[in-house]
Amino acid sequence: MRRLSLVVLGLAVAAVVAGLLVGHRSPSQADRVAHLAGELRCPTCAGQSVADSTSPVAASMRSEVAQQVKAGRSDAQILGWFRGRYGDAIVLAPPTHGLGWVLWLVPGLVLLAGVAVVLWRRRPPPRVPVRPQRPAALSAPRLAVAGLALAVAGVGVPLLLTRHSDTSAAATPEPAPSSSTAASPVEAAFQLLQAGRPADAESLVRPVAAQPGHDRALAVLVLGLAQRAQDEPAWRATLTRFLKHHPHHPAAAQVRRLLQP
Amino acid sequence: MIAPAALLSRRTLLIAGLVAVVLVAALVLRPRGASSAGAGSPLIGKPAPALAGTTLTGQRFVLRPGHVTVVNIWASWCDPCRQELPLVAGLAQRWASDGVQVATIDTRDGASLARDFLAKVGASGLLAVQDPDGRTAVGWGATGVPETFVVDARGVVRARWIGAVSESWLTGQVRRWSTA
Repeated sequence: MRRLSLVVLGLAVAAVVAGLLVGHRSPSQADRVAHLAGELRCPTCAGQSVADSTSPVAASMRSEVAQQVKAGRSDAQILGWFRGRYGDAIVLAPPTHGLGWVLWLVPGLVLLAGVAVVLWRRRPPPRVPVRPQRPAALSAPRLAVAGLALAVAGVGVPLLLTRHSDTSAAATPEPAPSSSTAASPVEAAFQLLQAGRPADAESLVRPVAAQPGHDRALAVLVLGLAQRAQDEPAWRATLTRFLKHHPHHPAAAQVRRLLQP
Repeated sequence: MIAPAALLSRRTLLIAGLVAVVLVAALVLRPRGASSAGAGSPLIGKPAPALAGTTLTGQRFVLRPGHVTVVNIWASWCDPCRQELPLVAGLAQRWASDGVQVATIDTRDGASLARDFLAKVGASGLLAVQDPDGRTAVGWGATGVPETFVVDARGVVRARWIGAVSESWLTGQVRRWSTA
């Protein structure tokens, strides 16, 4: 009986170890690119990661991440490379050095302060007879407001500090318009296509269609349409590629009609 | 019993604490004064990132120390660049005899489209390194187009401007770092 138990236990351990080994397979390069792009903040978007943004700079940053992953650089090296160019705030998670550690400590400190206040308020009342008096200056509502103010100040100030420590914060001698783009390359290519300049549209959109990114689908579509407008034989293959990867795209039905012989 | 003086003291302490937090925040977050460097960048004071590649005229270009260099990032699909590039091209011509170099990065663009664009805005002579996937611009920490950097003769990044650059800022920076 004891031997049977040992065998069962051994099998269970083996199964767990096998499961861990299978589950721990190393991520593919595409997984790493997607993960790292999700760690980086799009510098021109409000609260979007480089993975989620369709802006030109995010697409460029994804290209850089892909290239560095391909070159065998570690995640820490790649994130460090971006920090060196855009400041600490380019990484969505606060850093664990410099002022960044404040962000990690503040929630715990605020919690501790709250517990301390509660314990302090629950002290037994003094035994000395108390004569009627005006309500305590720190009544419960006031304490709550003060606690909230402290929490806001405690969390807000370090957040601002971290943002400020990002040296990309502009200090301009005269109003400098923020970086602005009239359109993304894909949008510009689409406009060129509509304006009857398919060759220009093709040259503009080809690099975007060749690399991973959220605007790739549209780029492949515009590329295919531009090739079709110039009677290039490749247009069918390009639009078929678009349909293969994006069969449910809003433009898919129209593209299928174009491809019909 | 808690004496009124003690209550006052507690309240005063609380208010003083909040005021201190606000003051420290104001002190740390105060504007750092008008910086002649323009917009900030972690690259300022550091060696310039790599700038190498094929230009729109098919030549090989590598940025090397030895000249004050203006690095401008643009694209044909960028409206502010349309206003800015004639100025940059004019200054590049004017400064050529003074040993000041102007190198531009044409980012996420098509070569023929970019050449047409330069011709249209009267900036055909500009040295423009092709950056079709945008990685060169990202290497400079660019957040969009147009952006302009000034690199001193030792190859150190000295200033950055975000948006269409003004003549007064650019000439001021070039003068400053040419005589430094």
